[in-house]
Amino acid sequence: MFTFFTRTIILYALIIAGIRLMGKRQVGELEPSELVLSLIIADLASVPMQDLGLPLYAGVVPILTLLCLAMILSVLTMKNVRFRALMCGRPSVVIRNGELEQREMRRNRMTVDELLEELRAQGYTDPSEVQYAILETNGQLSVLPYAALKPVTAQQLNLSPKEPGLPLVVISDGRLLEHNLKRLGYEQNWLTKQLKAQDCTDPSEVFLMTVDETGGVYLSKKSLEPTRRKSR
Amino acid sequence: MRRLWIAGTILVLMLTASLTTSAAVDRFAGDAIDSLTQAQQAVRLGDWDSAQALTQTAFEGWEKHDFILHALLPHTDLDAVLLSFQSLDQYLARKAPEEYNAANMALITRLHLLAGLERPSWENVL
Repeated sequence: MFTFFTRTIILYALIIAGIRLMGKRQVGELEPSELVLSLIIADLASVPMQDLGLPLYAGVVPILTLLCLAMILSVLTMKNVRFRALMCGRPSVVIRNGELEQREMRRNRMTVDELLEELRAQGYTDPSEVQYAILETNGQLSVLPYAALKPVTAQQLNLSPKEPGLPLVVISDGRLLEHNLKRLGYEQNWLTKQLKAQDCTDPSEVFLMTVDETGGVYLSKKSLEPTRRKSR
Repeated sequence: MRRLWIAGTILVLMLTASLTTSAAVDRFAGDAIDSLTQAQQAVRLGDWDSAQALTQTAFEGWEKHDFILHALLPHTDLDAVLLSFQSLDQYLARKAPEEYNAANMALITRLHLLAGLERPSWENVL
């Protein structure tokens, strides 16, 4: 049992390291080679985890080899356009100026039903509303509607809304993140005042608190409904 | 580019390690096979004491590298080798030449196959 336990920890740590090396993309956005890598690594790790008759390196060496190869391929893909096209393919325009590009759809084995489903998922029921629909190399469909059919922006209405900036997490699950508070230019006194305004006495009572660059505060107490309050 | 070099270096190190371990297993098995072959000769000549000593040398030489062998080779195969050595001991104790020789040949074959597992060859790759 000790062997199962230890091998599981070692292989799990190796897989986690491998997934970290693959970067921040979500599973749904993996390139084909990355998806294959994930599947193979999962399978390789389970073999020595379950079969004690095999030495541990029977899982470790293939996993390390695959990770190194994936790293080399990703660097080459980044540096060389042709190699990138070879590994990842090229995006395909499946709708151009409202018209379905049937040849591209056939080339990508994409059915009309699949295309309409993807359009509906992005809020478009009529292909004629779409100027371009591009099937990306990771299988996602990017939809670019006609300008006249895009939602109106504040700029088009000659409005100048205030930029809220990027909210930073100041308290996370009861823990104060002082470096973020300092980065926003606030001190402990300001924080105490904000907490008091929300009937809190201590950061430990707060589940989440974010502050944006205009001083807007979002605070959610632990086990209570979230409240939103703009203050400075 | 740094990641490229790191990944490349790790691959080269693993390749070097695999070739080194292959050579090491070959050597361990080779030493044991040599001793067992000599022991077989001794049994044919009726020299049971020499056969006992040579078999023991083969066993001890193999056991000395037990940790590395368990890290590299399937454990079931290594257990089979251990059982084979124990059988040889029994046949030596009973002074049974035919049984000893048969068991000795089987063990030598097994050691050859084990060494072959680690050998970098197209048969293994395919």
